[in-house]
Amino acid sequence: MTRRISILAAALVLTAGLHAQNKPLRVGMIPDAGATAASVSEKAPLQAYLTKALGRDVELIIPTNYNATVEALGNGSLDFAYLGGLTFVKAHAQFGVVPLVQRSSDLQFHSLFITGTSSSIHSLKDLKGRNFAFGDINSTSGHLMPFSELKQAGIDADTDLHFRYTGSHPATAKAVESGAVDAGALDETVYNSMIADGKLDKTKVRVFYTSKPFVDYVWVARKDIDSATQEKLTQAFTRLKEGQDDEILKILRGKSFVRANNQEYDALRAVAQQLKML
Amino acid sequence: MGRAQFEHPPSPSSGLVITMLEIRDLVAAPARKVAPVLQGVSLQVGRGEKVAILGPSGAGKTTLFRAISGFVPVLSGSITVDGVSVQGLRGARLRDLRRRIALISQRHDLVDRLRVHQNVMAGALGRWSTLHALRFLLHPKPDELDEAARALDRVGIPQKLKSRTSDLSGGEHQRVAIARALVQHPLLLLADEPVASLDPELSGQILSLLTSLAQENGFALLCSLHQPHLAHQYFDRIIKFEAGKIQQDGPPSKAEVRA
Amino acid sequence: MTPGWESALSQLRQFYPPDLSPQYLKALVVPLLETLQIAAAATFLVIVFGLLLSLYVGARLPGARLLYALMTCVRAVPDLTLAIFCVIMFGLGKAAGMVALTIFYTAATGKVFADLFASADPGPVEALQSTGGGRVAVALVGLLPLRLNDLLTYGAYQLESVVRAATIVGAVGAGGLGTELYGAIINYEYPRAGTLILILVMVVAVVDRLAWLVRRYPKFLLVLAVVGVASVLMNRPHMVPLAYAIGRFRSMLPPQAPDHLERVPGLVGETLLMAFGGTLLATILAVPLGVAAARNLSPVFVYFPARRFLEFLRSVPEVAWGLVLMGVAGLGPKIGILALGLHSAGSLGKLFAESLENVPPEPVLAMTATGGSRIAITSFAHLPLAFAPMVVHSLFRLEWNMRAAAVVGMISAGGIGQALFNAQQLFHYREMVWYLIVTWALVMLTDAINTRVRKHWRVSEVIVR
Repeated sequence: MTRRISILAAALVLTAGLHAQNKPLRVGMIPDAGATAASVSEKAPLQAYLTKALGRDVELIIPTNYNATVEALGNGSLDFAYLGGLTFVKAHAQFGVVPLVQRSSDLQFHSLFITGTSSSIHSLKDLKGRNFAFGDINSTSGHLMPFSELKQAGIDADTDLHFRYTGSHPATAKAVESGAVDAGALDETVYNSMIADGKLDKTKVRVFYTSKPFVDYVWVARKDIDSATQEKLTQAFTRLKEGQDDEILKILRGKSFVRANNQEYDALRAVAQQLKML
Repeated sequence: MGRAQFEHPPSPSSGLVITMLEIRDLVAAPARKVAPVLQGVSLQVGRGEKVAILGPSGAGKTTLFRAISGFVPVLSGSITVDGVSVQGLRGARLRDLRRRIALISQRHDLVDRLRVHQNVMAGALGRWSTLHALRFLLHPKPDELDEAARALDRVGIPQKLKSRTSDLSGGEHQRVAIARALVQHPLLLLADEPVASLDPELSGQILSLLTSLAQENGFALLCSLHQPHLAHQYFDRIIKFEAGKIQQDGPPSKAEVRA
Repeated sequence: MTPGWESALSQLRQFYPPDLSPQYLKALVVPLLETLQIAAAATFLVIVFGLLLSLYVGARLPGARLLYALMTCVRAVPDLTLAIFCVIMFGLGKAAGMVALTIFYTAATGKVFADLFASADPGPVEALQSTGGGRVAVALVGLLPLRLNDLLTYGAYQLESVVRAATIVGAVGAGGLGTELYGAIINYEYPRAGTLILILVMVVAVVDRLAWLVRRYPKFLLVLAVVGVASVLMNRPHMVPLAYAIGRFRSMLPPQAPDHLERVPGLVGETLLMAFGGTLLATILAVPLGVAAARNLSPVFVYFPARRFLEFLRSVPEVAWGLVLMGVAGLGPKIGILALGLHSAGSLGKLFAESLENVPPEPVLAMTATGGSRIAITSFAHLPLAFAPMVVHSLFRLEWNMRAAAVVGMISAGGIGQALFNAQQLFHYREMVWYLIVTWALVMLTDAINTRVRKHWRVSEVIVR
């Protein structure tokens, strides 16, 4: 009896794993509130779309950590990945990853500085000596660019602020809403969608400064991926049209995609170098 | 009313005894859904009486004791302690009954992690409120410590008041258990193989302590043993138990005491 | 503005009602299977390796002490750092997840099992040794059967922990329910978090039942072993980029001290505060919860909800608790204390309940016989009798929290953990290794405290019953 159950169990588990053996392309994306809504419920349609567009099996991998994603591009366990601006600059410096495509909105990205509705903070200068929240240390819109803007306004975060990293954009928003910090900086798209979804009480927070535009998220290929496959993925994204591929566009939180290049990140790279984050 | 009565312990045949425990045709099992071990036991124990129950292990001695304190269900027959029927008692009324019956087992029935005074005063749990009990654990009052000290003095180890229970020897362990029983001011003391894990000399000491305390305090003592010579030496009545039934009930024979 | 408990409660209220839409439930089928599969694979490996290592230590074979120290060393590595090491060696994906879980939990289990064997009754073992049997034979024949029940109990608990382990598995992209829960809370999708917690609680109940089955019918162990082997095969690494890995690891050495060395003592202080504070909070919460959840102390209408509540507490990962409570505690170590405390309360509560259920019956009977109230008997008998295993569980949790403090460092709680995490995220690997050594020293320190306290309270004898 036990033996029969064992054999049955083994057969069941093995057959479940044996299909999909011809090497699929491996695509990694982080469930970043600013960029994607890559929860399990969105994974399947996106994977299906990419499989169809690339004409071969695609495995969509959703790690929760940028660090791991970049290492995977280094050792070849990912073929394509979706990275933030700062992580791209790092991955490019370390492993020569190739930028392919990005949302048109990624070229004109902004960080928002927010504070409590009734606070006395109205400009970056007012932040001196206050409690402040950045998002993830590796985030372009949640750390690097706000840090740089503060510096330009004469505020050195290291000495003039008491700051902490909340780990994510929504956490920064929540920390400001609850009054745990006096102010914080985050991705504009996250802020807007949290207000729209009612996850953030708009009577409790207000924006007091919007950063200058910068370039952020981008889809990249590992450097050994042949150019034909790179091109296929690029076109899979540039082909997306509003009104026609709304399901996919909603998952990617964009309206249209454009080709990306390495030069557009020069400014960002310079800032990162200057702030010793590269 | 008086001590005089205890100095001349009544014999079961005297007819003047105030009945403390009365068991009639008792059938009981050690647990639910288990075959009964006690198959129709009847006995009467009077106030101040010192009774030994002799029998091999598995004869039902432990089940008998547990049935008396209301731990195992009575399948048929009856048990009455001081005029109160044990069957069907629950909650506060069951606790009230247990308060008047002290129970000592062969070992392992002290809580090692508690100090000696805490184990001794556990005998007072039945009359204390829950809050009182908790307060005592954290912060015992002097009069409570005095009471524990007096009880320990009577069992001959006054110096162990604040010792770790786990540091006690086998004999001391049993003395503490007896001190706890004293604090309970019982009408009936049930001792289940109290000397099974002790050497002969210590066994004698513990039994003589138990019997003399029963004498002084006037509680009925029911003690199970498996060594006949100890039973004959220290008790005034012996019940022989076998396979859940009483085989023999009467005063000790002089011959066996000498043996 | 003082963030209040009110806002925390209103946050928690959003977990209800859970998102039970058919689309979402359907989407969860695959992650559920992923979770079960990776859990089966990792648990199988953990038990095999954990047993081998602990028997090796238990039999006092050459190098046993070194091995024991090595296990402590591995336990000091925070989840996310271990995840990176595994990605470097085995690529992103399920294989890395399986290996990371295996390494981590083997080190934890190996230590617990070794402690169990060390505390086994020496009598039978000595008797066997006197027959002239070899050390290995003695370990197998003497130690294993002595502790089989404990091993099964702890094995089941381990399986449950692996099912819930979200941080490692998520970081390496191995998917599963834990990752989804983590993502849902990070994005403040509370109704979905509610759904996931419900499912996790159910999975834990099934695991509990399985453990019971195995204890009752040991033959089922064979079925589980077969499922385990099959799952391991399915999750096996498809690549092992050895040259890359060696190059990468070499670039992490030698360790480099951070620029602001003067900040390190403060960071260490924060970590100690979080680990001690969190464990203390957890212990205080776990005593009443454990009593409520003990089947021998509480009626079914109390212990059933209490057990589900404990499962809820430990289903939510530490980081996720931190995010939920940001509104109450603000930022900084306070959030770490609360996050570690609530999650650990869930684990300790369960372990305490089991310790209370396993107290020896004789003293309890003796206490009950005095006619005391239920609460009085619990305080005079059950709690002191379960004291030793409860202390051991709490101390082990303290060590656990010393490195878990790193994970909550990710969300502003601070401490060495946050510094380590930041260094890792910025690819300052040599600095990361330096912080890793500091963390290791802290875990070793806890281990030393652990030993001393156990000696003082004489609780070396029991671990898990």
